[in-house]
Amino acid sequence: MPTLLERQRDMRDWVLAAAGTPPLPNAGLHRDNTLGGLAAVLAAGFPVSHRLVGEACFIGLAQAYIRHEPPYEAPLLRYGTGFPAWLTGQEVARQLPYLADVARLEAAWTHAYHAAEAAPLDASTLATLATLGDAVEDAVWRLHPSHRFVTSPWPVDRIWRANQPDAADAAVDLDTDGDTHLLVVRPAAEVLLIRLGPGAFALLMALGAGLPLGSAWDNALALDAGFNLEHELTGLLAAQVFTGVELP
Amino acid sequence: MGITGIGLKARHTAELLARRPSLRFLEVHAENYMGAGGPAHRWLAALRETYPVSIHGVGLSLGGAEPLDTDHLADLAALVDRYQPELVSEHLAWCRIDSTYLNDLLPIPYTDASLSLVADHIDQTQTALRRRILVENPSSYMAFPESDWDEAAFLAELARRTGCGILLDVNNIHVSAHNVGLDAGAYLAALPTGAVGEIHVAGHEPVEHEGRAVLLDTHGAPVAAAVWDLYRQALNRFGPVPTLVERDANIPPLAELLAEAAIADGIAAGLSDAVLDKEAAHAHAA
Repeated sequence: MPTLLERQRDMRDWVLAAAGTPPLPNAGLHRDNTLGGLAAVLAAGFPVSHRLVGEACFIGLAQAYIRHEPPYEAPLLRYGTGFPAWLTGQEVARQLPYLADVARLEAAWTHAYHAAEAAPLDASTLATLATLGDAVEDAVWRLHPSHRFVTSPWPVDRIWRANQPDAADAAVDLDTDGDTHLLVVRPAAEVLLIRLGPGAFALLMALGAGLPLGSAWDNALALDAGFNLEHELTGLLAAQVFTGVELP
Repeated sequence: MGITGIGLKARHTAELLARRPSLRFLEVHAENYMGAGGPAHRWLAALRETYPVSIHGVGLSLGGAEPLDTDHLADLAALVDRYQPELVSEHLAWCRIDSTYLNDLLPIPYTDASLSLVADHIDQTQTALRRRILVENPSSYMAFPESDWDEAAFLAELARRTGCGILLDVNNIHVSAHNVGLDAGAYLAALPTGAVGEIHVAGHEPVEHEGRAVLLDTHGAPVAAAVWDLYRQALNRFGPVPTLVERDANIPPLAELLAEAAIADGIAAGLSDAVLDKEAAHAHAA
């Protein structure tokens, strides 16, 4: 008789294989349950991608992805982190060139949804910093731990919004609304998708990497000569995307 | 206050928070709360003020042939610390091998070697959590030729060796009885009366697989009459232990789930005085 370890490896191999002989009668019920359950997890995590390709196509993609990269841990809250990158190599991503970027946005949304809580800085911070004069350029800002950046040549935020369950039918112009820079963040209960200009995006990327405000501001100005730091910081503080600011 | 609780589902959260209906407890799947933060934790923390919590793990792989995932066990311990649940349970099953997690509760053969392995895993878990856990009987579709214990005796021996309790899923007994030929009455009789700390009732669905009729444990339908009968027998033997009406698919409006919970409470309320006296004697002894 096989050992317990051999039994479990045989079962794992068979559940994840596309064909083969079941190790015991009714093993197919477990294969269907495993693949069906994981496909449902992916469909729940990537609802817009699912809607864009349709049920049958999505299930086929999900099952192929599950075989390519089965989960390695029991909590499935983060399962599918590699799904967007894997999608880029699939035929459907050539037909729908924005699909993988929409999936990246959905993975960022899921990350933000389950990320750690942190108390945001309030808007009065700016007035306090204004009293510091030039020293404010040395300030290091902490972004909310839930944040992720998503960029795309396609208007993935507009595609995402147009495909929410409660959204009215809306046309998205793929040619003119592109070059998208997004901040995905959850300062409170709701995940926010914030569309940024190239200057604000450069500023936040630099602040997120730990650069001081002065360097981040230079980065923003390099991409957008008209960049207005005070205006942008006021908006970002109101959106509660920062959790701390420190002076060296 | 009855003895019945329900699973906490996102779609019922707002209504539960607003109405706070009388329920013995709320049960959650441990793995769904292993994110650092997010709305699920906010809701559970708010409901925890009204309801006792039962944490039901589905991913520890107590029956796995490889060592337990100590990161997963640490996450479970942190969750137990955070919510101080009244009940903590896991499954007599495996789901993880060579660092691949299969999203299912897979059966193990019941042998002496399996018994030692699962008992060690339960000991390790109870030590890490610093408390007793309940272990749930599986729903079975496959029978292993190498099994030389029957399932109820295997569970009873696990409880004796480790001090763990048993989460008795009477729907699983019914489904397994049909699929692999258990005797449901003998199953109940083989379990020690003091060991059952919680009961699950759930719905199942008949399907055709490879030309045979199989009962599938879907948690997607109302509890069947035959399962309510078995539930009544279980309460007669084990007393009015906390009971979960378990629904994970085709989730109905909250009112329908509460009505099913009321059925379980009604059965418990109809128990004979002799059973209730036995329960009182247990409580006194404890």
